[in-house]
Amino acid sequence: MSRRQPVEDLLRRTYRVVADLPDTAIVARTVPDARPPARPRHRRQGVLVTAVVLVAASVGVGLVLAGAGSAPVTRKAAPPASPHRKAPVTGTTGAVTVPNDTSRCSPTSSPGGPAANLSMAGTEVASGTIDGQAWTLYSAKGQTGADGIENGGLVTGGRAYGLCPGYPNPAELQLIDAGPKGLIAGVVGYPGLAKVQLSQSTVGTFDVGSSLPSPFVQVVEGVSFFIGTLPKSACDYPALELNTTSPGVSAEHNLGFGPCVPDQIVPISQSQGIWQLPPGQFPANFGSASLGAGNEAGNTAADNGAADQNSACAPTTEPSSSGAPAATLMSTATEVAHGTVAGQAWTLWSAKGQSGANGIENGGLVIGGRAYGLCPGYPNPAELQLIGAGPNGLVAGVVGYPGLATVQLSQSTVGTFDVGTPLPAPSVQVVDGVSFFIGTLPASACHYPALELNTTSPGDSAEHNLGFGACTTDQLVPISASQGIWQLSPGKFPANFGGDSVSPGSAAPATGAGSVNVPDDTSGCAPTTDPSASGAAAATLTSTATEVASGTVDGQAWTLYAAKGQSGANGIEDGGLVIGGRAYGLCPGYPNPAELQLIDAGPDALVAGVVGYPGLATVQLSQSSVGTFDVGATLPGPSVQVVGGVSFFIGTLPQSACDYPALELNTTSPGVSAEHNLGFGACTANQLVPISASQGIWQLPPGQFSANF
Amino acid sequence: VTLGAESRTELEALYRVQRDPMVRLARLMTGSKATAEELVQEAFVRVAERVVTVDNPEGYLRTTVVNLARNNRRRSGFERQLPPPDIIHTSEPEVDEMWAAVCRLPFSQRAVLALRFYEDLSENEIALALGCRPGTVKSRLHRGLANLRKGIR
Repeated sequence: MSRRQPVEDLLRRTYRVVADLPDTAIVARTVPDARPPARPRHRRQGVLVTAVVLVAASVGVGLVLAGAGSAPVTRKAAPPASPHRKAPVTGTTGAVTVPNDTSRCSPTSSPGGPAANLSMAGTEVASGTIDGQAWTLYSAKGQTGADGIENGGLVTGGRAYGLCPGYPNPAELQLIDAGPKGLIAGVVGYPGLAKVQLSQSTVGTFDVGSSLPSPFVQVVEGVSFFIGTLPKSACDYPALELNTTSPGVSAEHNLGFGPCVPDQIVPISQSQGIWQLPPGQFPANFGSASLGAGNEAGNTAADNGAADQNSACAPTTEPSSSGAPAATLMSTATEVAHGTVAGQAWTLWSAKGQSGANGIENGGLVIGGRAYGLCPGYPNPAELQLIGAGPNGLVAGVVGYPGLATVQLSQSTVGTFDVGTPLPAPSVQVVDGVSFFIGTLPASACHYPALELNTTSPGDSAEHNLGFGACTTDQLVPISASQGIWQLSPGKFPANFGGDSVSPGSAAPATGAGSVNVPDDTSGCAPTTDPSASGAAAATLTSTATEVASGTVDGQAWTLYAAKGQSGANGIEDGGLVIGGRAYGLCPGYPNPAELQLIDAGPDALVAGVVGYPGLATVQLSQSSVGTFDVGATLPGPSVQVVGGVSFFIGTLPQSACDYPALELNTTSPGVSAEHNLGFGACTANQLVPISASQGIWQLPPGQFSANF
Repeated sequence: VTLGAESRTELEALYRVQRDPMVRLARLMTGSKATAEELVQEAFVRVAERVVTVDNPEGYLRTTVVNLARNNRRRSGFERQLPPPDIIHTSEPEVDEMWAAVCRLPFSQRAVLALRFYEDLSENEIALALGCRPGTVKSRLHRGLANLRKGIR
């Protein structure tokens, strides 16, 4: 083995591999004597054990006993000491050979085994049919994203197939000899919905030959999963070219295939890939393209970004056209939940190719054969639709924060946050990671001129007040007014919109883009962004958070931490940045789409922040004047990378932090831009410079930044 | 003992989030997936009654898992009946070799290494979880790494 890597690094890697190792990779147990291994006898507390088993059963987690499903695997020759999994995760261009790595994936590419093991060890994350055959996609339990899928696998025709080699190789493909038509399936590991092009090719080239049918692609776990059939048997394709374009970035792979065996994955005999390519630019010859190091041309925004208010929702929430027959919705969306309310069956649909709150909000609700939209939507954290569905009004909506929310409803007065007569709490369930709620009201929808919607998700509360217009049977009641506050401390709902008690978060009209002041929110963040307490020793942060990225800026090492148990922008903003042994918070945060902290770190100021929209953002900085959106002298663009699905940026300014009374921060994520102006107070060495004023506009069309607030 | 509704809800939430991570941690400390699953099951049983009263159920659960892993090794006459460490087989020989070396370590060293390099706990946090002094953690880390270096030569 190589002695170059420190034992600590190898140990960490070993732990990561072993922790998620499937039973199939356990080839033997070291039996110390002839007796068969017995099981520990510590199930004495029968009643409690039963309780835990019931919990296990209720959450769908089966207890896998030793040896269950284990099958010795034949030891294969280890691959050559390879650069596998050394993809340019931080943005450098990958122009390397991608070996056939089946090491960490489960099921492995000794394929076509019974599906039972996979379905026990994984969580179903997607399903569908292809060429008349049902398929189900599994993610390894306890894992997410591309890793989870690649360590999970695909079940079709009762057989399980792995999806390796994998992440961070950006795209991958498996060819399955599934009958007269070859089956292909794979994952594009970049965030968002990818376009996948397939063609015949020649092994060892990047030649694009005859085009093949594009597979069906959908976003699963934040990345793209694709599946499709080929016109001929898998045996007829000695090589395939796989070109993928995700939001902002393309990847190109060429795969050669060996002999085919019915119902098995066709062995990959050779493969090579290039990634981090500018969108749509696929070099025809491996190595010949201009692939300069640090190529970050992938910043170009794609057009499938965050959901915009109303515009992308289908069925529309325009009340007059709501309540239409459900057929259209059902043909363009996937059922993600169902149930009954007031004796009526309902089904919830997520737009095909989308996931999370976006998917639901661009999908809709079907009840009584009629379809109702659920917009406006994300990133408004909570939303509600009132439906005139009979003697009892029906409410349904989405709380876009992750996890299970509590939802409180009450009568109210338009334009206030008054909590009036409590109304029955709707039923709430987690769908696609966020909360969907549905319930009935004691009286007809026509009886409620205003509703107060207070929601509390794990870690965050949101408060909305909605006014309603005239009701029509079987239609949404039009929302005549709405306002909201979010990022509230759990359970704290200010009584007065805009009053003194509204300390944190973004006060914005619930139906529109936020064009409001962004207060300096230190409430939920750790380490605090209270400047006077910033720059403290890093130990507290590093003990409560997990390192998610690192690098150097201006010759100094930095490390980014996400709060343990949290992910995405929330995790980073509740974690923080360590530089020079000092910890700095990154609040206020999400759903303010972008934020910036200015640190007085020496002769050159340091800026760091998060753009909460998914994907890689471009970040433009300039000098400005407080209270405007003026773009003054351009400042150096910070380094940007995707961390936890969102963009983290860090950079230095030409002068001391004390020299910048105001900064303009313009960001463009895939599909959406945001504009912020921040004023700064007095600077103190090794501390955050206090933000004295700030304002922002977001949900802007890409690249369109208003000059005047 | 019957769990109240609140306890049941909390336990369910804890189980959802922590069961798999705890199995992974226990596996790294005991070397055996089978043992790990048994220990974590036992840990949830022990935590169930206290899940709504302790300040930090996750930390309490982790400490319980660590203690159970340690106690299992201490049970006289019982250790040899436990499932022995798994021999694994990946396509990365160095990983297989390192895992074999880890499994040869005494439990005390294996535990601190797993908590430090898998859980990313600080030395103080490890000391808290193991009920020993930070200095002990430091020395076990040092010895554990030294043994691994020797073990993979």
